[in-house]
Amino acid sequence: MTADLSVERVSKSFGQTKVLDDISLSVEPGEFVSLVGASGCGKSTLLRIIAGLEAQDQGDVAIAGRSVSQLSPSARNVAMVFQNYALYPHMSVFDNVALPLTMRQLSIIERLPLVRLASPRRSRIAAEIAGKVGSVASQLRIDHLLDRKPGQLSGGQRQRVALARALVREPSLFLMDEPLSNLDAQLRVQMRDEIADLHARLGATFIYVTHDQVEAMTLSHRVALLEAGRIAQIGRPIELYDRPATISVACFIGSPAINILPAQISAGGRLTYAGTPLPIAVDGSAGAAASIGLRPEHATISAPFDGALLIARVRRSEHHGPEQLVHVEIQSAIGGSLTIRVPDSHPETAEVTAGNLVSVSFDPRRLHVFDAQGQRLSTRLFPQQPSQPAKSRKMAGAAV
Amino acid sequence: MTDTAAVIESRPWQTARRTGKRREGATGALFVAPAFLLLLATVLAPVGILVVLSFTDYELGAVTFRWVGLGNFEQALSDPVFRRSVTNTLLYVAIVLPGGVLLALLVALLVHGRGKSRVFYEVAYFLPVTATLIAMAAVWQFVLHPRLGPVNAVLKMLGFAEQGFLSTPSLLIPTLAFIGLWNIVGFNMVLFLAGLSSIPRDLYDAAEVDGATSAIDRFLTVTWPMLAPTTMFVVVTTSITAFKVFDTVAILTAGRDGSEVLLYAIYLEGFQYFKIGYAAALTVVFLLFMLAFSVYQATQLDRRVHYG
Repeated sequence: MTADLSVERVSKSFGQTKVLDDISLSVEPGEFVSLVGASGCGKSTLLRIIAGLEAQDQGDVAIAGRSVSQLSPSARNVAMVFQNYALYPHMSVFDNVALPLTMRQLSIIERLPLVRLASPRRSRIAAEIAGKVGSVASQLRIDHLLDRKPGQLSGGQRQRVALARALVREPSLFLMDEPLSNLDAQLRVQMRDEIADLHARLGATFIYVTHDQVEAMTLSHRVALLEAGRIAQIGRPIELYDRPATISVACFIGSPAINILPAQISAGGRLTYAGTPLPIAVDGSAGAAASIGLRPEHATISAPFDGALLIARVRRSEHHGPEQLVHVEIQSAIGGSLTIRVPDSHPETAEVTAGNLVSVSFDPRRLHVFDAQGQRLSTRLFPQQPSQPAKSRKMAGAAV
Repeated sequence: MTDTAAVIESRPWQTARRTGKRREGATGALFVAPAFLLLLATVLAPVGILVVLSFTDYELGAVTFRWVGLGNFEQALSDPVFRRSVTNTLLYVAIVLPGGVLLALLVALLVHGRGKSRVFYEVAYFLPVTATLIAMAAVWQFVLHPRLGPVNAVLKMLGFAEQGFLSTPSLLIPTLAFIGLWNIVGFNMVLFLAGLSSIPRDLYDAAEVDGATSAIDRFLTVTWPMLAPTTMFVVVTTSITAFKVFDTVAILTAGRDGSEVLLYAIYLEGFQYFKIGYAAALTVVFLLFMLAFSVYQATQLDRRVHYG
C-alpha cells in the first residue's frame, strides 16, 4: 500500500513573501526523501502543503497518481509527525494512538461514552482498535505507557507515541516535520536509527523535513535541498556532497563546513588563486571572479616549504578521536581561514601545534569551483607543460 | 519502643538535626507570620466575628446583646421573604451561570476566528464590563420601559402585547438575569479568548490529519478539553458573581414585587433595619451556599479538568 508522491509546480506566498516558488518533486514508492534547508527556506510549508494543512497558490499535489489538492488532510491518507509531537495532553497514550482509528471508524454518536454499552458494533470496533494500538505500541516499546498522559513521558517516549499515532493507521505516506529536533543529542542519534529501521520494516514512503544535514544525509535515499523557496539541488546524499550544484549547497552539506577561497578565472579558463595559477581550468570568461570550495578532508598539511601555494598558521586543533580538525589562518594578503581534517594517525603532529606555520596542499581534482553567481563550474586539469611529467596527486597541488 | 527512643536520643547527630529542624521551623513561622496575621485580621477574624454575631440579637448601636442560639436561623427559615430571596437567587444563578459561560464561549469562538475585525468585537463585547452597572441600570430602565422603551416598541410592532419587564413579578428575575448576562459575557469572553490563544496550533493540525474533519470533532477533540482549565475558572468566578447579584436589584426593583435576592435581603436587614445579628445569620447562610458550591466545583469538576 505504498504510494508515490508527485508535487508539480507548486507555489505559495504568504502576503508579499514568496515561500515556495515553482517546486516540483517526484517521490518513488518506498523512498525516503528529506527536505533540508535553513529555517525559512519553505521546507515545512512544502510538507504542510503535501499534508493538506496548507493550500498551495498554484500547482498540484498527487498521491498514488491521484490529485489530492482538493482533499482534506485526513482524506489524503497521510500520517504526520510534528516537531512538538502534538500529542493531546488530556488523553492517555492509548487514546492518543487510537484517535486516528476512532475518528475514522466510529461515528460521532458512537464515540459518546454511554453508547459503548448499547452498541455491539461499537464494542466490536473498539476491540479491533485496541488490538491494533497494542501491536503498534509493542513495536515501538511503549506498551507499558499506555495508561499515562503525555505530560508524564520523557521527550523520547513522547516521540515514540507520536510515531505510534502515525503508524497505527498504516498510511501510505509518512510526513515528518523535524521530529528529532527537540531531543538531546544522544537520543537524537538513537531515534534516527529507529526511524531508519522503521522505514526499512514498513517500506512506506517517507518525507522527512529537517534542518540538520546529518539527519538528511544518514537517513535518506534522496535529499532535496531547499533554498529561498526553490529546490537548489535534489539527489542522493553523496551526490550533494561530491557534486554540489551551488556554493550554498556545498556550504550547507558537510560538517565541518566546506572551505571557500576566492579565485579568479584567467586566460584560457585557468583558475588563479592570489595571483598564482592553479593546474585547473573551468568554463568561464577570463577576468571573472570565482570561488573555490575545498572539503576539510581534501586538504593536507605539511612542514612549510618554498613555493608552497598556501602558507598558514595553525590557530587551534580539535581532537575528535579518529581525526583532528585543524583550524589555520592563511598567511597571505587575501587571508581567510581553513579547517582541515587530519587523521589522528598523522605523523606530523608537530605541524598541528597552535602557532606553527604549515603549508597546505590539495588535490586540484577534488576542488569545487563556483562562478560569481554561486553556480557550479565543471573543472578539468589544465594541460601540463610537456617538459613536466605527470606528478603525484599530492605534489600537483603542493608544487604550484 | 522506649529502648529505640533511648538509642535515638543517644545519637548526638540526631539531636543536632532535631534542634536544627526546630530552629528551621521557628524561622519558617517568622517568615509566614506577616502574611498570616494579615489574613487573620482581614479575613479570618471578620468571618469569626460574623459567625459569633449570627448567634445574637445584636442591633447596630445597641449597648447589649443577647445570645439567641439558632434563633436567627430558625426565624430565617420561616421567613417567606428570605425563602423567596433564596429561590430568586438560585433562579438567577441558574440562568446567569450556564448562559454566561456558554454564551461567552460561543462569542469567544466566533471572535477568535475573526481577522482584522477581532479588535472591534473584543472592545464591543467588553464595554458592558467597564460600564458601571448602576449607571447602565438607568439605561436599561429606559430600554425596558413599557411605553417609552424601544424593546416594547418592537414587540408592539411585531404584534405582541406590551410587557412590563420590570413590573411583572414573574418577569423580574429573568429580566435581571438577562442584564446580568449582558454584563458578564464580555468578561468571560476575554478569559476564553486568552484560553483559545494558548492552544497550540499543532494540535489542530494533528487532529485534522487524524480525521477530525468537522468543526464539531475538532471542538470536542481539541478546543473543549484544552479550554477546561479556563472553563473551570470562568464557572467559579461566574457563579460567585451571580450569587452576589445586588446592584441591579437595588436600582431597578428595590426588591419590590417579590424580587428580593440574598444579598439584598442581607442589606435590608443589616443596613435598613439595623438587625445586625439577623443579617449576620443570613450572611452565614450565604457563605454556606458559596462554600457548598465551591466544594462541589473543586472536587467534582476539577477531577475532569486536565491542566496542561
